Amino acid sequence: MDLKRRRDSPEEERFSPFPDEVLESVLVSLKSKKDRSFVSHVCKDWYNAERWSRTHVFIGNCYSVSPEIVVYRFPNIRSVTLKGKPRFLDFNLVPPNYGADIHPWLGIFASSYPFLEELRLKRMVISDESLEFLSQSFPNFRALSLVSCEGVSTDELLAIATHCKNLTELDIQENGIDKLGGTWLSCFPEKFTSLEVLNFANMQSDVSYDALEKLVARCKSLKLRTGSLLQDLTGRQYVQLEQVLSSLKK
Amino acid sequence: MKDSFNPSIEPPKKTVTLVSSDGYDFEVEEEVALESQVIKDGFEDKAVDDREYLLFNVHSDTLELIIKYCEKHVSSRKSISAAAASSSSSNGEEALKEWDEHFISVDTNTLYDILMAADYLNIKSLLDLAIQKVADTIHGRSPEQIRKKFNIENDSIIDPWASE
Repeated sequence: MDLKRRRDSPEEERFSPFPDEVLESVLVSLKSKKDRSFVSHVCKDWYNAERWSRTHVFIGNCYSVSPEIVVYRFPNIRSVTLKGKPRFLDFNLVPPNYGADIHPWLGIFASSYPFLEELRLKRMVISDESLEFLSQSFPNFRALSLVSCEGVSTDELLAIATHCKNLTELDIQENGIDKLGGTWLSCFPEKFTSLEVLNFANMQSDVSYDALEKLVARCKSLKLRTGSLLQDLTGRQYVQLEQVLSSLKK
Repeated sequence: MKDSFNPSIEPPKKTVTLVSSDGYDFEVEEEVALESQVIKDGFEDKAVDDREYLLFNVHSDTLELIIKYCEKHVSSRKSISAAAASSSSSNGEEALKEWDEHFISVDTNTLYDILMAADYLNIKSLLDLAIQKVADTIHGRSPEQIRKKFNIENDSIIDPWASE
C-alpha cells in the first residue's frame, strides 16, 4: 500500500488525520454509494483510503471510462456492475457495431482482479469466447447477472455451469438467447450445491426439467425464478417441482 | 464514577495505575485496565509492583471517559452472566447498548479523542462503537460538510478520474 501516513502528529493542530486502518474501517461501515463518493472528495488521504478499501464499483456508462483507469484507481474490486449500450437499444435505435463489448474489460479484470466474485452486466455484448474466458479466469467467481445483453447463448451458460464451482447466483433476463439448447442446466457438476439464486425469466429456449429438478434438490438454499418456464410445465411436472421445493423448506 | 454493584461481596481488588499524557494518575481495578488489549498483552510478565502504564497519547479528559466505559462494560458483563446463570430474564445487553449509544453521543473532538485512544489502547468494542459513530456522522454530508465537521484541510486538487 502506498498510503502509509504518520500515526499521530500532535503538533498539527488544524488537521487531525485518522490512522489508515481506522479510516478504512469507517469507510467499510458506510453503506450508501453517495457517502462513499462524497468521502473520496474530502481530501487526498480520504481519496486514497476510499479507493483502496472499495470492493464494488458501479459504472453507469461503459463508454465513459476505460477499464485501465478503473483498475488503476480501484485495486481491490470484487464486484463490478457495468452498463453498456444506451436505453434506446430497446427500441432498435442503436446502429450495429456500437461497441459495449465486455471482452477488453474481462482481459484487464483478469490480470488486476483475480479475486473478482461478481459481475452484473446490462446491455453489453458478450461472445462465447468472453464467457468461456470469464468462467476460467476467476476462481472465486460466484454471481453473474446478464440483463438485456447481446450474444448470449446457452453454450456460454454451459461454460459457466461447468467451471464456476462456487456460483451462488445466475440471473439471465431478456437477453434474446441466440442458440437454443436446454442441456446447460445439466452441466452443473454433481457436487455443485452452492446456488442460491437462479433466474432465467423470459428465456425462450427449452429447459431440461429433469436437470432442473436435480439441481433444486441438491442446492438447499436455492430460490428459483423461472418466469415463463413454469407455465410450460405439465401439471404433473409442476406438482413434482412444488413437492421438491416444499420438502426442502422443511 | 463507580457503577452499582456491591463491592462488599467481592475480594479486595488489585489495581494498576494509568498515567495520562498530561501527568494525572488514575488508579483502576486490574480487570478494568485489562479491557485494553495493549495492557493485557504482556501483563503477566510485568512485576506486580510495577503495574503502572504511561499513556503518552491519552489526555486525562479522554482517559476518564475510557475508564468509565471499561468499568461499565466489566460490571455489565458480570451482571449479564449472573442473570444467565440464575436463568432470570435480563435486558442487560439491550441496556448496555443504550448506554453505549448515550456514551458515544459526544461532540466531534471528543469522539475523535475517544477513537484515537481506543485505537491506541486497542479496546475493540469501543473502537467499533466510535468507528460506527464516525460513519454515522459522515452519512448524508457533503465533502465540504465532512471537512468542516472533522476539521480537515482541503487538499483535493485531483481529478478523480485522472490516470497518472
